[in-house]
Amino acid sequence: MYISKVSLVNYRNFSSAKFYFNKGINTIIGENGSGKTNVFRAIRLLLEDSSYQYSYKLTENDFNRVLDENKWKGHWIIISIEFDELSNEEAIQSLFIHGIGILEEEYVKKATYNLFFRPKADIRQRLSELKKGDKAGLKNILDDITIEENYETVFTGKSTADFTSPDVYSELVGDFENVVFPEKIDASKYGSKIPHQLSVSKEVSFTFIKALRDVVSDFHSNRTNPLLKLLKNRSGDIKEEDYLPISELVEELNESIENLPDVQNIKNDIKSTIQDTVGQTYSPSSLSITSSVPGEAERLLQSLKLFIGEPGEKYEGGVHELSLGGANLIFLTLKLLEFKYRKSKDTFANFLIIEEPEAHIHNHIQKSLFDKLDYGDTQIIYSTHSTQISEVSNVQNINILTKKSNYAEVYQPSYGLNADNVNQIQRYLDAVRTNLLFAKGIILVEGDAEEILIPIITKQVLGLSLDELGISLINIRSTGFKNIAQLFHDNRIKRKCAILTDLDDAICDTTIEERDSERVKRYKRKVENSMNSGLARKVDLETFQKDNKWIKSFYANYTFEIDFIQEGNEAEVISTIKDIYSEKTTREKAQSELESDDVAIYGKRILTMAQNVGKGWFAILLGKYITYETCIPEYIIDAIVFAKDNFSNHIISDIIEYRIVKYLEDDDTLDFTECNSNLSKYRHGEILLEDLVFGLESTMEDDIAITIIEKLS
Amino acid sequence: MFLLEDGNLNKEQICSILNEDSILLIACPGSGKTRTLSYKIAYELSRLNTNKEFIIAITYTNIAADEIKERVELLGVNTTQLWIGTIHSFCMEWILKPYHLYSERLKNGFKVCNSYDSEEILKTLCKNYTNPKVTIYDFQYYATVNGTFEFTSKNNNQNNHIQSILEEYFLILEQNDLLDFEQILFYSYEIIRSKPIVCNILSKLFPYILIDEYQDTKEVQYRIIASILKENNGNSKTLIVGDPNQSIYQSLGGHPKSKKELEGLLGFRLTQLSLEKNYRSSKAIINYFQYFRTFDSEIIAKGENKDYESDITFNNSVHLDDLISEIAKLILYNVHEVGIDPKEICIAAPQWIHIASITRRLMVELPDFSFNGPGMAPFSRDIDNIWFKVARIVLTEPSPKMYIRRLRWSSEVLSEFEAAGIDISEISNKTLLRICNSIDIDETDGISYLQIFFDTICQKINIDIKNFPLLKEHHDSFFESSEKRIKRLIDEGNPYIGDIDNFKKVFRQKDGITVSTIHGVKGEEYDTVIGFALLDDYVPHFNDDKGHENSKKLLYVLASRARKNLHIISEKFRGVHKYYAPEGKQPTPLLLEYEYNYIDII
Repeated sequence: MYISKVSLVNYRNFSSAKFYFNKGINTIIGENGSGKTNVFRAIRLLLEDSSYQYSYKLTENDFNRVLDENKWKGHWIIISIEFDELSNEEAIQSLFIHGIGILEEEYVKKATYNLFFRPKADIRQRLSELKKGDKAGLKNILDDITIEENYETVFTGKSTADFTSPDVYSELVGDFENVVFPEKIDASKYGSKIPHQLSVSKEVSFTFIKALRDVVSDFHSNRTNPLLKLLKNRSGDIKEEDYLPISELVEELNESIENLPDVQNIKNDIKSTIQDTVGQTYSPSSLSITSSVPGEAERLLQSLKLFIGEPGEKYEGGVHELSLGGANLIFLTLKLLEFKYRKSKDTFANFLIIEEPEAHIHNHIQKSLFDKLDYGDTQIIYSTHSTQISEVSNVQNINILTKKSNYAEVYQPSYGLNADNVNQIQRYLDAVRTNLLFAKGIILVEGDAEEILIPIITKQVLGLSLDELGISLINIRSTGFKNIAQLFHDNRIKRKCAILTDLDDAICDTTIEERDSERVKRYKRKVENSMNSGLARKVDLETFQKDNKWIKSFYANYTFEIDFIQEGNEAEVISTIKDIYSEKTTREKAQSELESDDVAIYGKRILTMAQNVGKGWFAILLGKYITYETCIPEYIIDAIVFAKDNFSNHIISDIIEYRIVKYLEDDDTLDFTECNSNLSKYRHGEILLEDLVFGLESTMEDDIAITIIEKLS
Repeated sequence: MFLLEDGNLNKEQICSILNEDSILLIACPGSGKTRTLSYKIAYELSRLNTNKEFIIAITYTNIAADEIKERVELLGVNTTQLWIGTIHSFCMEWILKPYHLYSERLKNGFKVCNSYDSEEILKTLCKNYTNPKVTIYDFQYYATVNGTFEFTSKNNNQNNHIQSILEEYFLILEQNDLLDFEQILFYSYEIIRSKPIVCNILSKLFPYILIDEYQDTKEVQYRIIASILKENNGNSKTLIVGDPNQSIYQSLGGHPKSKKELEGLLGFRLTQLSLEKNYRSSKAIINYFQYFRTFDSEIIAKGENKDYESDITFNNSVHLDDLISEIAKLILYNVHEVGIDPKEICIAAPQWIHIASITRRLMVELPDFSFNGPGMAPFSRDIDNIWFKVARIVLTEPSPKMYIRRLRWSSEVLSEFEAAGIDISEISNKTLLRICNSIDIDETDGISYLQIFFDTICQKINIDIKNFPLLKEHHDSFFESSEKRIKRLIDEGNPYIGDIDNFKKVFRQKDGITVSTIHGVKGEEYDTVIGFALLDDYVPHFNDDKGHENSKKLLYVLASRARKNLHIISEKFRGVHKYYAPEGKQPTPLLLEYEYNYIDII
């Protein structure tokens, strides 16, 4: 049995979210603050024996912030866990199935287990009696609601509804907008109460390993020391009689210490000093020095310490002497051992939840750790913001968390894709080690030139790196964009993905003439073929992205290099000539050709140059000459604007400010006073974007910043 | 661990406890059946090796369930994994609550309609029908295994009316999301038939199911239990125990199945054993009631009374007008001449109507004795009413002897509260008991006393009864029925019946002479039993086509209650008809046929 789905409604930073899991190892990827800990907290409320009590202590802070300022009143928090691959043939599962299994005619395969934090029955009864649309009546009831007085936690099982669906929510909880509240709850959809004979958390083995942040102090506390826990788990309760001989030895030891001549001397000295100073009357009647090496079993165990040598070193030290990574590794190992012990008990499903194992463990160790973490019938779910670990996990077993303003969204990158497609993506992700799954926006490119130059141009021209814009640029090294682009979809990752590709339009007339040499004929045919396949590619991509708002393709008319020069960047290209050609005549010929207005001439030249040194190297050479004045080809600007999706006031202001600084560096006579004051107002939201542009246009006409702003509106 | 060989059990009993097979156990009257059951339960509980399994024991009444549970607890066995109760509670707990979502009719929730409310609904419906008239005493209906309801009637010409009344009745229940007792069985059976997997799951939870009083089990009840047991390939065992000679609920569909029939239903073999040693009665009594047996079984007198020189009398000449003084004479004789403790005397008659007024008249005749008549309780003992359950706690005094029992009642109340939608996570059974014990009300009128008491409880646990429909309905029904009862009892000449002292008396341990129907004394025993109204048309019932056999069973039950003395009365001039019965109804034919050498004591 394994957890196949977790649904959260109105819980913490989830307004409505679904996580899908598979057997084996699963990953939740997300940036800090995206809610990784909260998903785990939700799962623990339902499955961890020691957290169960907290499910009865939810507060208004546990409601999603979309419902802040008393908007939570009357709403429900729903946490639902779905299990798959149960077996009604196994007696050990019967009680579990009796309580929460979903019955088919002849078998049981799935089960659901839900927590509802909701208004108590009396409030729900009063809500159901409201007349449709009676907003005043609704307000009247809601105003007086408090968590302490009016909320309850109940657990149900056997439900079949998708609680994250808005229709389901309004049927179960109510429609606050139109004031319609249900009188009855249909148990066939929403489940029946868990019978009191069943305690789900006792049926399964569940171990949670929190983020490894302060391991050394955990080792020092008797409560959290994993070594002590292990010893207790292993041997059940400590048997006094086993420790009796040791205790006797300790007693003897204590006696010997007390009887050391030095100890006796000191004791006598203290005694006489006191008597000398305060006199017999006020002196203590007796005084002794006791050795207190603990003798009781429990405390003896507490004195056990782990001593470990770092790899390659001979010295064995205490945990506090280990490197942080080393201590974490030991902690994790001990927790895994604890899990192993627990697993062998009377339970039929094993869950291991690990929070950010990468916190302090080196990448390489992480990788081998997860490659080897295979306990057969154990489902592992871990959270991470490390790309390294996420590569271990199959793309089908990944949930991506994205932070939105008051809530988080969850994406399953391979949801609804067939096995072949998933394989393609998996192979690709394995090969390129990309942070594709973490980015907020994606630009896919076909070659090295784009991969090298676009980040440089963006940084030089806009003053912001692609990272700062939250855009990942991914080099597909071919035109097979669709394999990756299919990840971005309403059903999967809901993030923008721009595709940059070349149309490869002919730079010359491709009509073959009688007089053309064989070489020219071959060239013309090649150009024509490229043009045709470019057109075909466009048709294909346009069909592919139809009705999918997350993907859009942007085309260079010819190729990236030609479009770059065409945009007005011949100066930058000319600067590279000296790096490429050594012959003076060739250099001059190249320069004049690049200065030509005929695309057939400058186009052929720049392609020749690029071929000469290799496209990648050419791009690196060209990169040296990129300045803030370089013009970004329009299709690339479009792609950036699309992939970035949302430009905040600050981002726009940063770009403009950068541009102004650059202008002033070149010419300090320029006057940007008014611009700067407008900019500061805009940054603080005092004026609108249109007002800002109006002021800018007079001083920075045709500037890239203005182009971008125009594209935004 | 408890000890089997502690001298409390005989060889037969130990055999049936240790036997590893599934068993059909025929237990004669007074054979220590309850004790055997308790030990068997304790034994099976101690054999469990996982906490995921439960031993199920189905009893005929809630009182029997309580008694057996207490006995098992006294044996020192942990009863967390014992579930014991009536077949109705079993269906509620293990089928309807967890699986009601699979029934169209029940998926939106349901409440149990207590017997008072369902009687009220039926009474109202009956009023609409005349020619012929129908009253609720004229028919009984029960669920069949075909997914239908069937009914018995007094007169066939009422059948059309009864059919329509029941249809209307079911509709009203459905509209109010109510289930009555027969429907609990009906829908449970429907669920396990439409989702056979339910039986599969349950069978794996129950390694052992014990069924008490199987002779009164109905077809649909047999099917429900058998469907579950059958699913586990014989790995779930059963002990079916009872006495076919005491099968007195035939009119409600109860009947003992033979070993072969049971094996057919269960799909596995049963070992038939019997308990033949009677520890209760004298040889004379046993010899007397054996005449009425319908199922051939040996009975050996073994108890301390076996050689008691019993008085067994039969009076078929007393006039109805002298019945009270005749019974009074018998009581005085037993108490004063023979030395019987009054609380060991029982007076029984075949029908409710015969005992309804007799208690009051006996109280007048014998003012020095106290009587426990069921008709004397100022409120109805409707065990499924939430407020009756609260009243049980309210009307009993805290004492060490009652502590465990009151604590259990308190848990029962809490689980009812929870079912009504109240959040009880903050209240434990001890808290509730403490709250009840802390309330002190100065009020002598029973009804007002309870009303104030209930209000105070609600206040203390912070609930408004108005917002919980189930609580409200039960509250109304409890007080409505109580007020009606008190009014009737006062009209019958019991002016002080409404006093709080009379309310409290209901739950006191029995301390007087018991007055009951024959059905009501099933399972009990007394030194002296006095039976009256043993007349043709009552025993057997005039409309019973198996009259001869059923009157045997009824007399068997009546006579086998007695340890020492037995007095049978067939009074004259009851039910006089000018032409057909100028001297009233005739004595039960069976009694006239029986050539027993009765003695004359007075």
